[in-house]
Amino acid sequence: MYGLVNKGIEQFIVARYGAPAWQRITERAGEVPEVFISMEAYPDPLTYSLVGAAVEELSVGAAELLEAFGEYWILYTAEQGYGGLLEVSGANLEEFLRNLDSLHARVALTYTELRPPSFKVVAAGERCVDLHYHSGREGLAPMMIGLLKGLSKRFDEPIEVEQTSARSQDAPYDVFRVTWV
Amino acid sequence: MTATRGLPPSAVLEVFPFHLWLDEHLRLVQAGPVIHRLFPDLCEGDPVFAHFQILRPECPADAQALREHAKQHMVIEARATGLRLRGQILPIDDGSLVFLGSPWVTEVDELGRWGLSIADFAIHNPVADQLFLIRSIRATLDDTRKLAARVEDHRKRLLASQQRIDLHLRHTPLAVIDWDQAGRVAAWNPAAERIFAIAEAAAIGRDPSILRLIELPDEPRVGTTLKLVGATEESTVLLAHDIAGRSPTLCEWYNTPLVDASGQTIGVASIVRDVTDNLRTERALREAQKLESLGRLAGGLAHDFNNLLVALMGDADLALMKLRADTGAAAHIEQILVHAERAAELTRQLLDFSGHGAYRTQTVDLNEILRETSSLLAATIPRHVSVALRLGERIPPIDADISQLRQIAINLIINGAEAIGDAGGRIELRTRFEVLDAPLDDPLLRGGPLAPGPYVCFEVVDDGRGMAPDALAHVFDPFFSTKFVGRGLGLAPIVGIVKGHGAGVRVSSKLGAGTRFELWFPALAVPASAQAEQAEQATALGKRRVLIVDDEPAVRNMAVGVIEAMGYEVVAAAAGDAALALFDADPHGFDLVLTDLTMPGLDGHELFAELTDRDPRLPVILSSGYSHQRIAAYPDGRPATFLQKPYRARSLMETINAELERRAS
Repeated sequence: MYGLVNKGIEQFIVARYGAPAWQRITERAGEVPEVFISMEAYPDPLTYSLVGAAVEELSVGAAELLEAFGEYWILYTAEQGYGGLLEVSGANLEEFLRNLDSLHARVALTYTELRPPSFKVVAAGERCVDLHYHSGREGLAPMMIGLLKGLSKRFDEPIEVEQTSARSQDAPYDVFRVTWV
Repeated sequence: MTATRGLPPSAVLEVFPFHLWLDEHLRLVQAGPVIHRLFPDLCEGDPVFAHFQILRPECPADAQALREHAKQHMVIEARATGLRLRGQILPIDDGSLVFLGSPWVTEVDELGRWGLSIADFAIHNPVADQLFLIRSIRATLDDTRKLAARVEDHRKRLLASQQRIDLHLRHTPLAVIDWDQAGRVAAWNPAAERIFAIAEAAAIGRDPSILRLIELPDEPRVGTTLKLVGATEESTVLLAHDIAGRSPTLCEWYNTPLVDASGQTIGVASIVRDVTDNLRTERALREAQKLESLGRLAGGLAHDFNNLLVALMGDADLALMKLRADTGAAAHIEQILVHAERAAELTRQLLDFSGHGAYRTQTVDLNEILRETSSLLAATIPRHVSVALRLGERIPPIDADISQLRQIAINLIINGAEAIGDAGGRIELRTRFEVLDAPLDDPLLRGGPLAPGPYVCFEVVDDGRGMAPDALAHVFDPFFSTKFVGRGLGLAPIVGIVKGHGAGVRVSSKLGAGTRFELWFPALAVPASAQAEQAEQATALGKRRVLIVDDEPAVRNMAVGVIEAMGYEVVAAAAGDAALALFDADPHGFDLVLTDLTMPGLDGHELFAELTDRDPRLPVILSSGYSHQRIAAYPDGRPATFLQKPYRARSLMETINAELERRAS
């Protein structure tokens, strides 16, 4: 994961639980760099160990923590100067979801080692779509729910999100049903 | 292949949102939609360069010049807002010119200032991506600066910490020594230089042989090896070091293996404390405690023996009173008394040693005693030993037993002469007046601690062979001697005598550099005065009744016999409680009480208090074999008369008569 993600986790923990909590989490996680460089690619296990340590230190569920972080991520990236990128990626939530791959393609121009996920939007009825989420990484589905909720707030379009299918040997991707309410 | 197709006008508007189309007179024919939004005053037919100025290349704003610079990078600036557009001029066959470009911005945040957004740029336009790239690079630069600041902060803290550690290592009294994996010195601080008398430069790289370890057979705690190579556990060891010019130096070593992050032992860190003085003090204290115990035992024995002697001598005196002087038995009884007196002298010596000796103290001029003693000894001291007096002037008097003082001086002078031996030398007797501002609580001081106040300090200094620390530690032990035998208790009684006088003694010596004994006696504020004459006592003062209290039957019976022989009526009690009951039964029936001090139950002090509470004028004589129990008056001012055991019949009679006379007067 890029340092930008790890920095996001740090700021999320500090904003929600305080700097001392982050200090304890890094001590629990083991060898954690003092400062994350946004454009530096760090090994995935480092990010997973940070999340694992946070779950233990804060006594929260991993899914709960990842969902909250997903929601925070939308706010965080906008603050980090990527609001414009989000802006050009869609005028509404559905358009944005359909442009997610395009968005990641543009991000990959800057973050050349990016291994972005891939998305597909499939109509599932009136005011309802299924979002297919393909990722080379495991365990991040709860974060997707948080991201969708964060986008809902950004576009001011209230939605309900439900994971209707999880990645398995038979299903190569997760499916989230997004219903506008 | 040549291009055969052109973009339809609507596509031009979408893919070039910032273009300007000029006719051959440089008037506006068409503009991109964002240009129209940004510059609403710009209308078709307007001369374009009335709204914009050319910044690059340097050329006039005419069609021909522009055509000539068609292949160059062009920058124009809006005269109204200052927004710069960068791009190029494209000549068209019909004579018109098209400027294809986009706003020149380098920060995402800058877009808002010009009323722009990312969405204003065509998707194919790399400017948006460049902006994000620049943004990301700037964020990374910020991260790097933050990291650099943290590194700098750590560096400063590390430096400060290192300086503190350096200061600590430089000034700590503990030697700090690091050993490398091969057991060679890697670090050696100033305390190590001091303790082992080896400079850092000479120590670095050396093995432990530089420590010059020695064995001390009389100190079983001292180890013989220092394990460094392959040490995996912390260790503590006491080692003795042979350091040039010093007596053995004893050091406590605390060794900790240094293990790196990979678990590899990279050496040993040693912290070393010089405990030579501590151990010497500890040993002195141990010896003092041993002597104290021995003294207590000797004192107890002497006390009991004194009681027996009181009875023996009293009965002998009584027998003499009842026998005619010319009978043969009287001569034998006289001999019994002579032997008893010698036995009493022996108990006196024992009590001297224990510090509980019986002293006849008086106001004494120490200088005078020393002049007399040195003069007396002149004939017995070898000729090659000179005894010099360096006596201070205006030395205040002390309260001391003259014979005991002489004994001390004689013992120390003889000790000094024998230490000097045949080589010849000098003994100095010195006195000085000294006021202690603070308590003198030196562990090497026997008889101490001394309270602050004025003291007469008496020193005996010789330039003889001196003593090694081991011998010095035993100098006051009974029967201890380095040179000779047959001196009895040796210097041991000095400590007891000193204690009995509330004084202190200290000895210092170095092998080959002589010995110094220092004695401090409390100085009296009053000048020395002539010894008061002892008045002869009258025999009997008429019919009197005396209460005798002593738990020792032999003493009690002897006293009863003597007092009855004086013609007085005697009532005896074996305990303080019984005596008090007798007194309470007949409060006006006794003219005097003689009581022992050490008794089970109500002791002599308590009985004295009870009796004098009831009758403050009642004469009470206190008696004991311990001189430290001697009492002249109680703190509340009640006078007390003391009679030292063992006493002869005559001294008992004299004391009783004196008390009765005092009461009568």
